[in-house]
Amino acid sequence: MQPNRAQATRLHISLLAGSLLMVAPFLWMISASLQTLAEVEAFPPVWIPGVPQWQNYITSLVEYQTARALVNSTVVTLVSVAGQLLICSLSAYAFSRLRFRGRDQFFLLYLATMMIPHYVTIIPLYTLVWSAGLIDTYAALIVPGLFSPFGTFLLRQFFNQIPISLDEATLIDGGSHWQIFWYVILPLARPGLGALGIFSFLGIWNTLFWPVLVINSKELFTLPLALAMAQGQFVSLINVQMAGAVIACVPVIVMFLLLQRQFIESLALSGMKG
Amino acid sequence: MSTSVQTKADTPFVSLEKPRRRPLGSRTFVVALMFLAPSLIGLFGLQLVPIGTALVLGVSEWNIIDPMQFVGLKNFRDVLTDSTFVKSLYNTFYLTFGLEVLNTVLGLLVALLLRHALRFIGLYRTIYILPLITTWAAVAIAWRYMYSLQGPINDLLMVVGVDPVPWLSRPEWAMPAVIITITWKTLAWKTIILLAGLQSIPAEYYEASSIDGASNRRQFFTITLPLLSPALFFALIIGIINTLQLFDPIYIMTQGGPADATRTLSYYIYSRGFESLRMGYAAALSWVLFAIIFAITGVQWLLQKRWVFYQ
Repeated sequence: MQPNRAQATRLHISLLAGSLLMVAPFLWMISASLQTLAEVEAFPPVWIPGVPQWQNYITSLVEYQTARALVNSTVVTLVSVAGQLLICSLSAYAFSRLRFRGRDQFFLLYLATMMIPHYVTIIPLYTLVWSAGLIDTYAALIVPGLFSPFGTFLLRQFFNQIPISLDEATLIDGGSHWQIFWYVILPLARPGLGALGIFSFLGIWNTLFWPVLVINSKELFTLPLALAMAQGQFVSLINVQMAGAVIACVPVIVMFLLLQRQFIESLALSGMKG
Repeated sequence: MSTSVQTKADTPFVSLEKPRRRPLGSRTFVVALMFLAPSLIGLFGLQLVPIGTALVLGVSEWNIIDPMQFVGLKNFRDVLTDSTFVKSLYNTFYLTFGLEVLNTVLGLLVALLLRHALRFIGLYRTIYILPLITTWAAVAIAWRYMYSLQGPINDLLMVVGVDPVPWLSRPEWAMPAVIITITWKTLAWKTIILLAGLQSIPAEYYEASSIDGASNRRQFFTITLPLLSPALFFALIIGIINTLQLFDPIYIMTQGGPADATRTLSYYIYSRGFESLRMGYAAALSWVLFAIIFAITGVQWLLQKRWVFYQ
């Protein structure tokens, strides 16, 4: 809707006020991450650090092992997202393009598993991982992120929008289903892959619950887990903790800015929370 | 295979006849199986087996170390007399209700602002989404310190003449504090859903009613709200499902305390399973949570006829 000038001014004022509320915690986080210990503990609180204490970031990265956690999070997230994109697009291709007996019933079963809240499956999953002796391994962090009924569902929706005549043309030219998948469907479904990619990137990067359960050693901490544990162990060093928090937020914000449009579309399409 | 061989033998001029339909693509079935194989493994190992295990665990007692013991419905009977469960159920409803009210009202407000074709509107949208995408662990720690007695929030309160509030250390304040933080974090989700709903309302409706002299207020109640009701309904259903499963903010900010004031059902499942190692009881609790989610969603589904307006 096109507002007139007076309305536009009022809207800008309201939106600016709201924006301030939304970014204030981030600003505080950044400010606190650059303060001395005396400043973060001062009352009344210091809003703007005197001399920016960049070494808080070094302390966080080295002594708090945030650097290690950053590497762990990056590896776990990239492997999971890449694997999930491949596995989901393979199954989405079967559901969207192949006609086989029981396809629709099977797809329904797939969707039904989405209805089961992960709280029901997470305790058994933990016991399975425990029985398999995989507690405290990268595999425990990565494998559950590789599969996603939701991802299959989302990609199937995107694949269904690609005209089937393209498949037929490839088949007539002697192409195989694998070729259709790789050279026709995947390139045309790039927006869908981007949507699922950003969606699962955020989900896996940010996840805390599962790592809390399956990881014990510091060497395997992901960023959220490292932050949570640092909070418990070094209660006093707020400034260093805030530096770690900033380090955890920067990659997701960068990824988000790159794939913003796809993210919003996937959110509106799926109704799941980031 | 056998069918095609027979056909060849019986009818030499097979090419002139209409081809018999093959039993729904047996070759395609093999191809499909190859495409589906990795997902099948995942579906089986990460969904079906855990669901089956959850059923077994629900009627067992198991501390992970000793052998599992079948106890029948004991876990579910225990749930009924478990006062912490009752408390956590109350907390869950408190949290869900407070969050839905705040998120819906504020989310609608922000969506109404963001629907306008303004300069910088893209920038505003990005800013409002930032909390939603960032790491819960990171922002929850920040909020925890912001809530401290000497923190910035109490400092601002004192500027306007309000005494400092012990946000996270008093049972009566902890839940409101958690609700405020979660609202800040998840507001954009509601906003995006409602904004998508708003943008699907045809502009002609507003133009026509303006010509007829309808006020903004009247337009809101007779055009916007009814046409937005499907989006509101959707956001309510999914929002509640998500809230019922929240873990991160509680874990970081309060650990369920003080005095169980923020121990929600999902957090209680975690504490029973992984702090007191009662896997069976935790599994039973998770089925109770599932039943609650199912019941709430079902009731909403039935009630939608009364207020959701589909064009």
